Amino acid sequence: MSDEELLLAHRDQADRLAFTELVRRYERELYSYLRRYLGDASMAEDAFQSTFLQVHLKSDQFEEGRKFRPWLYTIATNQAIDAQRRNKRHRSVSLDRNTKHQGSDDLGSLMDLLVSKEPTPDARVDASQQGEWIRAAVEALPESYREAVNLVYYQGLKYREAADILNIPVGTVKSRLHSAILKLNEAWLQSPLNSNP
Amino acid sequence: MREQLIGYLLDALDPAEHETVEVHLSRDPQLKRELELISRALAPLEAGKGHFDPPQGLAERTCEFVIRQTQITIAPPEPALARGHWRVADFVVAAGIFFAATMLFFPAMNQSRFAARLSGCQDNLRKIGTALTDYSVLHNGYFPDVAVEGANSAAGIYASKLFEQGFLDGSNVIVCPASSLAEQVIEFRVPTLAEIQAARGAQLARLHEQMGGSYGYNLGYVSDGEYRPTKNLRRPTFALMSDAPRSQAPYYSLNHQGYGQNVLFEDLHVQYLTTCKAHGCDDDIFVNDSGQVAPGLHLHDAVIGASHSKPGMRPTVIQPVPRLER
Repeated sequence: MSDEELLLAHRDQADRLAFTELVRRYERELYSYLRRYLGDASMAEDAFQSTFLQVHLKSDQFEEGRKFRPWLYTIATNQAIDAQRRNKRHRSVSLDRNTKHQGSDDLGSLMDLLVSKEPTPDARVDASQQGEWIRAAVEALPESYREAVNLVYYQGLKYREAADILNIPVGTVKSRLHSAILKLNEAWLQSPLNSNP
Repeated sequence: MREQLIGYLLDALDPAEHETVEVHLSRDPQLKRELELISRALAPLEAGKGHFDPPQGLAERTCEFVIRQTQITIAPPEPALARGHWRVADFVVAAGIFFAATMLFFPAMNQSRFAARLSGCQDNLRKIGTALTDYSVLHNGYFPDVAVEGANSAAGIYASKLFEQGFLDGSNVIVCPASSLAEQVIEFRVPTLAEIQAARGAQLARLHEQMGGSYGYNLGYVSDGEYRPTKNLRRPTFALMSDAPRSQAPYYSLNHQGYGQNVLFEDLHVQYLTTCKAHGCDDDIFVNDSGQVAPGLHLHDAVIGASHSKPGMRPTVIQPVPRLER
């Protein structure tokens, strides 16, 4: 059964198993999204539970013909924003301070650097270290950039879906993602983990 | 084009856009090289792509949480009744019972639902009242101010200020369960101050309409020709918030089918009033002493404006709000 069929079965026939199946289906994916968004396991778990509570409470407002996944992410994103406000967990670190250049041409120069300097095998950093670093770097991005990276890059949503979820124009999602990639690359090139500073 | 190429690599484009990019790539070798470069630029992000493992039993706990929170049992469907056992007489009896039960219980159910929503609405106001008091403690005794002009010039700005500074959580607290907003909005979210500042034109007007939720907020008052925000003097007859009034005269709230409105007073007690006069005095809470939806004419002239209501003062007036940052 599709996600939409499961939700309608839950809503129209009070099918408990359908709801359980929906929660299980999104357990890993949505938890990862919230964990990445909030940067905290406990907050992510709370937001995950609140999200599905809202899915249940708002299920009568789900319009047939609509896609469930973007609707779910809309609810989850709002729950994450509320969770952040509750915890007043404001981020103090910003990649902005590491950014020396502005403008779209920088992407070219960054990419040229990447192309021209292949790391030697012995200089390669441990993959898990690199994973940790990049997660921290994404977390340190300005919130609007982080949202675009999380939804489009990590969760694989279309530009259009991310725009609907964030309630912003599609062009804004595109430019935010572009800028985020720019910042992440600059930060990566300056990081001690990168063997080609 | 770079943004399109990023979208192409991440499969984030619409089918038509995807096709267009493919056509360009097949014709333009330079674009192909750029695609290769972007692909390399995206490579470092790959390391952070792994999923986070959810805690053990998260799905089960979530289902239990939903059931517990909603106090419902989402039971599996009952097996269908065997067909052929009902006669006409059975239907007549069942219809009679149903009709009698409807006549007996529907008014009671309606009353009960009305009372439950009224009570839920009052609970929300109490929570907001506590948040407003906390805010005033940290801001030299002043409640959130409504700007005289600009993007923050709307009564509903109180909500963004309370949420932004962590005095309130959960946007639904500013949605009265009896209001039409509760039925219309799928997922209500209070806009951030940054979002309000960035909004323009119709978008800003829409935010102003909605950001205060189902409630109206005090518009402050004028003294010596200057606009002043409300100071917390814990007055038992001074209306600080209420169910949002209609946007046109006569001013009263439609949240409770037009029968009356919940009012939060400055001493934090909440009362359901069937008139627009504040309890214990003749002050109409939805207009000032001149009958206008505008700031009060003196310190004790309370005026509650709907979310979009503005102080409506001349831009030259300066707001004398001493503020302490938290």
